[in-house]
Amino acid sequence: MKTLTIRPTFARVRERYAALESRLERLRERLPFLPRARVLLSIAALLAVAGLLYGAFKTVLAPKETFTDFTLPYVQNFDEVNLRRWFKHEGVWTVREGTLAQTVGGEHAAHLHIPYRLLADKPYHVSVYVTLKKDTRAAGISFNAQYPDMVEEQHRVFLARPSKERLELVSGYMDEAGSFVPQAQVPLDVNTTEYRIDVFVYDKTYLVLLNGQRLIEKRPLTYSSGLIGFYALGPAMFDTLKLTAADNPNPGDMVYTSDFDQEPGGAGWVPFNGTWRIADKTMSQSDPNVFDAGIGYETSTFQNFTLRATMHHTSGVGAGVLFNMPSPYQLNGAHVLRFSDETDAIIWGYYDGQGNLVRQGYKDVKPAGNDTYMFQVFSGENSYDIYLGESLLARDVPLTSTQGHVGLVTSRSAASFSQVEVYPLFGAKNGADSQQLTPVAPKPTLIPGVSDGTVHVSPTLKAGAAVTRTGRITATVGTPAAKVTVTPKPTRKAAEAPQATVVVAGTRAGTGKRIVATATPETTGTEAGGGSGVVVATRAANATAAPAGTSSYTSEFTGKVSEQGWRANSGQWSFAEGKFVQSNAEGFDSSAVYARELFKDFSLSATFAHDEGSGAGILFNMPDKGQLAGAHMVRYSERRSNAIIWGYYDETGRFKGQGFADVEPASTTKHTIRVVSSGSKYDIYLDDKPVVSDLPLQSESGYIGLITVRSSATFESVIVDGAKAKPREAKPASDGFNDLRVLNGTWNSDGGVFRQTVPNLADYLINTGAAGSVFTAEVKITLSNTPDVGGGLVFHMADRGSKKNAYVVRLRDGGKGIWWGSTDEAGKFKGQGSATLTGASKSFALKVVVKFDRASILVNDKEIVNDVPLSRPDGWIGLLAYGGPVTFENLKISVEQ
Amino acid sequence: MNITKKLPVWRAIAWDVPAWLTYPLLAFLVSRALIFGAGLIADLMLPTDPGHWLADKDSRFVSMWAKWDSQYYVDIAAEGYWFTPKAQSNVAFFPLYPLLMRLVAPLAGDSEARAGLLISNLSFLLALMLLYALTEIELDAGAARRTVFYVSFFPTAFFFSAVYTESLFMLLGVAAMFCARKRWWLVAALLGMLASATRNVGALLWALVMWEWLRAQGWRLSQARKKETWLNLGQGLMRNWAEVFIIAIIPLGLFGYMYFLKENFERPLAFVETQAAWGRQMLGPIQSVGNSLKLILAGDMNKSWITSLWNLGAFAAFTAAVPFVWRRLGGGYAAYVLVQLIIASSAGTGSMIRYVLPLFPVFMLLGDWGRREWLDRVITPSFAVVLGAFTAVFVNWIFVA
Repeated sequence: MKTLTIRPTFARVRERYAALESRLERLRERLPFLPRARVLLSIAALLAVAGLLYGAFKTVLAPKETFTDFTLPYVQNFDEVNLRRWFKHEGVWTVREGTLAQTVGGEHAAHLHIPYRLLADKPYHVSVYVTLKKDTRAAGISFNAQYPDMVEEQHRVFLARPSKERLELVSGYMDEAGSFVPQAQVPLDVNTTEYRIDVFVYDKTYLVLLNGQRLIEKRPLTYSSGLIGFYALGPAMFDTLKLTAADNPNPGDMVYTSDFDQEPGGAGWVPFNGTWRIADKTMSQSDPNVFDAGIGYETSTFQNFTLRATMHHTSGVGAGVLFNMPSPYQLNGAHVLRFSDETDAIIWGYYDGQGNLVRQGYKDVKPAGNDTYMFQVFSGENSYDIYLGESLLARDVPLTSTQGHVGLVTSRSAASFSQVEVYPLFGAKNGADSQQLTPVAPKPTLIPGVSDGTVHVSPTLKAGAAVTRTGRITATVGTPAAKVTVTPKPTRKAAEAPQATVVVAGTRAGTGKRIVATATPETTGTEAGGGSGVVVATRAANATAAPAGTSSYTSEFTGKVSEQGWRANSGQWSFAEGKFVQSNAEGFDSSAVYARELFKDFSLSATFAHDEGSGAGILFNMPDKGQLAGAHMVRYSERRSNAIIWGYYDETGRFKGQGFADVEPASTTKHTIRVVSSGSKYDIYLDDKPVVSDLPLQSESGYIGLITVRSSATFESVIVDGAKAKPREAKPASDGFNDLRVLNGTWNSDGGVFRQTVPNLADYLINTGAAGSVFTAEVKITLSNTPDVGGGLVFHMADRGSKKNAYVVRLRDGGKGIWWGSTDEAGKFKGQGSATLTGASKSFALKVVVKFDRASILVNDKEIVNDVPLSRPDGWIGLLAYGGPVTFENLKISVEQ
Repeated sequence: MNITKKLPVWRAIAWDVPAWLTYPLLAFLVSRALIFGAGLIADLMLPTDPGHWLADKDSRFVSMWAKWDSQYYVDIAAEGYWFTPKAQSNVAFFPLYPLLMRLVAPLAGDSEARAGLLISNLSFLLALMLLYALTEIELDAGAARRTVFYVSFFPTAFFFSAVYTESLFMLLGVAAMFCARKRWWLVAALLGMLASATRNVGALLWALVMWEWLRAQGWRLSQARKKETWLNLGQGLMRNWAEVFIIAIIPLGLFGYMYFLKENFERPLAFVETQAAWGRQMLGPIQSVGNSLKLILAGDMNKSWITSLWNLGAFAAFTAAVPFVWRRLGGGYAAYVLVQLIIASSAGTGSMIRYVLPLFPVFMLLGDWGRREWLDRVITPSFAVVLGAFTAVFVNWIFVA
């Protein structure tokens, strides 16, 4: 059967071959130079075999991983990777527990390159985590390595440890002679071994970030495109190399629409705190306990843009957006717009270089609940407008950072973001040609649920933000000489609690405009004990109040509580060792009232320390010594030890917040809360620093008391001083400053004229009692004829009683010039600039215009310098004389709303 | 006295079957018995440094024959090519042999090493048969008999059974020449092309086949001064230019591999570039030989010294044989041997004793010389002794060549 089957087939093949041969022969008759048909067919057969052979090579023996271009975004984890196919030069490279490790020391640098290449004309961003080992001498990445001479022709960014004490960030390239040419060396002070290196590679330049902070700017590229690799001298570990398309050099051109509804979604988003994931087509943060849980979009930066984010809370309230983030991996420097996690309000502002929140404003809104909201930010050249839905929240808010990444944030809340869009601002120009721009935004309309159209400006507050992770590295930059703060690897450590630091509060400005504190209700929901519904005003009016400013009381916590005039309404109050102790840390509103006297127009101060928890404070202007209804209260928050809250209990005994401020954590250290109740207003001080002033009183007189909420505390003293509560209308009009403090020197004040008379050449200061972030201060200064005498203004003082950490602008050399600069932690002046003044006059009109961390200086209405960067965004304002006599007249300080 | 004449039993067995089958088979079986036996004994009895790569975990025998470069062939067959610039990469090894390993592996229990062993030994047997036939054409049957034995027992002839390309390359080289001798230009070109895909020097077969084609046209070097020689050649070219074209296809195997390297690694000469990672620099044969000589004369007798000694010895012996090859077998064979020696020694004389294995014209010459009984008596036993020793060394992961 087989034969029968094969024969006809074979015959058919022969027939076809013969036919082909005869056809070729016929062709040969026409083209006689052709070889015989058999030869032609032989050649064809040979070529066919050659083709088959090549096909076999290509199919069977082709590399498992071909050397090709990177497909971006590219993420290289080290869970499953075959390093055999990577380009290895020296070293022993292994994958250990999901990380890449170079394990041997020695004199030879170890290189390992990923066998993919970047396209020549595509800017890119590469990031990698580097862990230094004890014997690491250098570790980092190489980029634009030229195949096949990757080691000899490459750029390199690495952490170098030339000695145990020294660490530096180095970038450079290999020259034609095969030597490394450094392009930047940034010395670092070290206290960690884990770092994240980010390199942004553009067409002709590159820049380097270490742990999210730019340390190396715009270095020229010697090699373009090429390979990415790892570099180590000594043992080192690497993790999660990411490669994405870098920013467009004109970030104003960038457009972004979130892909949360796609699979896989969330490309380019990098969480740096909290628990972020894509769920139900939204980007969700599910941990409601984390402060400042953030996620940044790392792929692009944006400038002159509109940002829209649609979100809803799933637990708590406190979600919002970040924009103009210098780094997508941390809050530092970013602008923020979000719901308050304390009150029914939306807050906005920015995080300073230390990661502290500096508020620029807030607005009351209806409780957010689980409703869906859309935030809109119109970020322009110098300012931004913000909207909730289509309703204006604020317009022309100054920008401290004009471009950057966008991100999402939640604070003590969980939320889901369904869509994030960024697109260019209509009419904006970018790049070098950019002009001053006012964001183009819809006309304002009132938001339903927002109390009114007023935008309040908050006092600047510092609430430790994302950088509160694993400590901080302080690094000194070699070139240029500056102080650089490097935060450790942002995403790999569990977040710690935020660390609030300093309170800078409202003003005592007599002539200036007042600063309104964060006057939002504190919704603690605590009930006043025994609320009776009695009308407070009536009860207060019926009380036997002491005459204004005449009564005083100094506590004596000895003997029996009742014998000293105190009445414990709730909690466990007792005297111990001359102190008044409330020892029940669980109870709400544990209060004790000094029942012997009513006070009006007084200064009340209580010094205490928490024993457990936080929540202690004072009560005043209590209509009823037996209940809280109608009483004013100032105390630490029991929910946040780094905040104090104030307000009053309404007639039903329900607390109505009037505001809060972030302060240093209460801890167990001693604090003094002081209130000055005067007329219909009251001021609050914490530890002798003003927190807020001119708050409206609900009741203007009454009993005083102490309170703790879910905490125990020991009160050392309670002092009521009637004389210190001067009637507001009685402020001396002559100087307008009723809280002056002389730091040194001999100062005379007469009719608004201040004169320092000590002739010795030294700095003499007086603190005006005014403080602020945005203000204008002007004064006429008259210098004596002493050659070196000078005088000026000092502002942004961190401490009321010291010139440390302040900014100084003063005339010098008897008026021949002016200089400006800051004082350091030792109070030593560090000049930032100077100018020569002409003219023989010894009188000068000095004016400074300050907006947060920028200042302009004018002398005799002529601008000397503008936009001077300041090291701090706020602080006290004072006068400074260098030698004497120096006279200051017509001092005006206008703190802007 | 010829060794084969001393074996009437084998003669009797081989009486009725063609000589091109019996003698090569006999040489193959005896020599393989020697190396397999020696290898097995050495593998079992002698200590081996631990930690070496194991080609086939299920077969000690297979692993015995897959050492050193075999790793690369197995790797290519199993995983494909890879290239790390300036590092030892498997692109140094040409693709035909690992390709066959991959294709045969399913028939060999999915073991590339086993497939390699199979291919090598089968190729060697076929190569011996064709070598016998070719030598019989060029010389005589006696020379053919001796040639196959000399090749089989050459000190490094165990490589013909190892997972190395030696046997396949020799098969293709001998076969191409055999076909050329038979004027089967198409098949010769095809085989030559395959040879050039087995080793870079395979492209040199073009010269050998072309020389044979010239001979077929009546051209002789000795008559190059005569005008008629060139006239005849011109006429031959006019008449048979397509054959020249066909023969010119021989280097296509090399070019195909270069194109493959360009496509995958952008480095068509990657197989040359990577040689530096093995310490091979293109110094030229004179300097390379000079360096080896210096090393030997330095007198520091160590492993390196001894390998240099036998490599230089092999180079010297085969180079010395070139004029005799020329005289006995013709310029084509001589040129083939000489150019291969020059190329092999240009980057050093290391492994020369292995590289000379496929230089079959020298073995043909030796077979011719073996008609002198005393020489025959010396060659075969001495070759066999050294072959056994080298085999024992090789299977214990000691580098021979």
